[in-house]
Amino acid sequence: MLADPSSPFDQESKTVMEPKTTRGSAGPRRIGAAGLGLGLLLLLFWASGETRTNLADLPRPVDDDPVAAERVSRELDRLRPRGVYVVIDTFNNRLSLRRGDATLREAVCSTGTGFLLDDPPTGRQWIFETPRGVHRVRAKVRRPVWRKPDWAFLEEGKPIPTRASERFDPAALGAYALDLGDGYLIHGTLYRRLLGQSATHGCIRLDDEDLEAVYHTVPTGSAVFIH
Amino acid sequence: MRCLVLVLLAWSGWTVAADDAAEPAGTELEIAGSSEIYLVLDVDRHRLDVQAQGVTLRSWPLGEARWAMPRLSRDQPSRPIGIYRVTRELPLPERVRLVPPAPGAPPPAADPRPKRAEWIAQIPTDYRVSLEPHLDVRVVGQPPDEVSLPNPSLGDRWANLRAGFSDAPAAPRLLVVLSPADARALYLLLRPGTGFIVR
Repeated sequence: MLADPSSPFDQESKTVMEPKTTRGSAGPRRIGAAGLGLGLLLLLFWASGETRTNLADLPRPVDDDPVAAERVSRELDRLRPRGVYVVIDTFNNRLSLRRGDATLREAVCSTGTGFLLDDPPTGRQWIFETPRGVHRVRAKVRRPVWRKPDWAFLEEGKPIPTRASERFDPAALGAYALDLGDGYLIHGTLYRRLLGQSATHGCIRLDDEDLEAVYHTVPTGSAVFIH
Repeated sequence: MRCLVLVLLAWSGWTVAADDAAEPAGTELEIAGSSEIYLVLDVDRHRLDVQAQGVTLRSWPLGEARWAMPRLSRDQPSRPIGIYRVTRELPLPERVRLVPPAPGAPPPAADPRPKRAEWIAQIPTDYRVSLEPHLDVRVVGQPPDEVSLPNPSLGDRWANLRAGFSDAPAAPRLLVVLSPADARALYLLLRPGTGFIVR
């Protein structure tokens, strides 16, 4: 049966149905496009990812030569210090005395703060850091006297003395000092409460007992490893 | 004459082969023979050692050591055994500046601990190190009982996609997890030129 176009029922039905029809056809298209986009994004996200293999589970390279590795190991053995040596950990402020793989003594020490001091009038600058690397004990000194450098006066707001005799301080370094060169020493301290902290201008401070042990155990020429 | 040529050829071939075999060993010995501090990633022992002249100065346990490969890569990975060098400076937090007191003013407090602790806290615990030849290491500091591998960054994802859809070689990446304190201590050791040996 054909519907009468003038019928109010059909007119009403038309006006009601038309918008519904429009929504019904565009909705799935939009959802489809959004879904496709999202799927593509997810695919890209997945494809841009990585596999992470435990390093120990990977095979050794085919050209890895165990004979050469063995030879390197023997050569490295020859490089290692024969006698007593010192290891200083500047991050944790620990010093150890070792012979071969054996640790003879462990001590709490103080190393450089890493702070920076400027002297604007002269343009000079100091960084108070303990130098990392391999050093040697160049000399051992009993009852060392500190010849205070310029920064020691600047830091305290004091004028830099013109006479050399005004720079000497016989009490600051303790009973012994081991000279590592370039002004860096292993010495005693007046500030025991700061042991275990980064508190110095680059030298390595120890308490009296540890300093005495280090002084008597470590010969001149021994290696000092600072890391 | 012909015999002499043959002997010379054989000798030169043998020398080249011997040099090839000796090269990596020589390089490690060069590093160890100098006065520098270097690092050894010992895969089998699951440790990262700080060494100098063949002496282990400190040894950090690894929370994780993973080799990251782009998902679409067709390469067959093997252990990156070799000798590398740090290429780029890792920026240090700004150093604490000491201000000399005015003449006659009381000297500043002698206790540097708070400022030093502040400075250490600014050292990152998640960072990247570029090594030569071509290796990126991402170091992540996490407490040993809370290790969770971080997601690749956007830059890594882009590089992974490029490697997957072209023949460009994938950027080899090593992901190392240490404790936060060890990650900071390592950061201070990684200066340009520092040797990094993977065994």
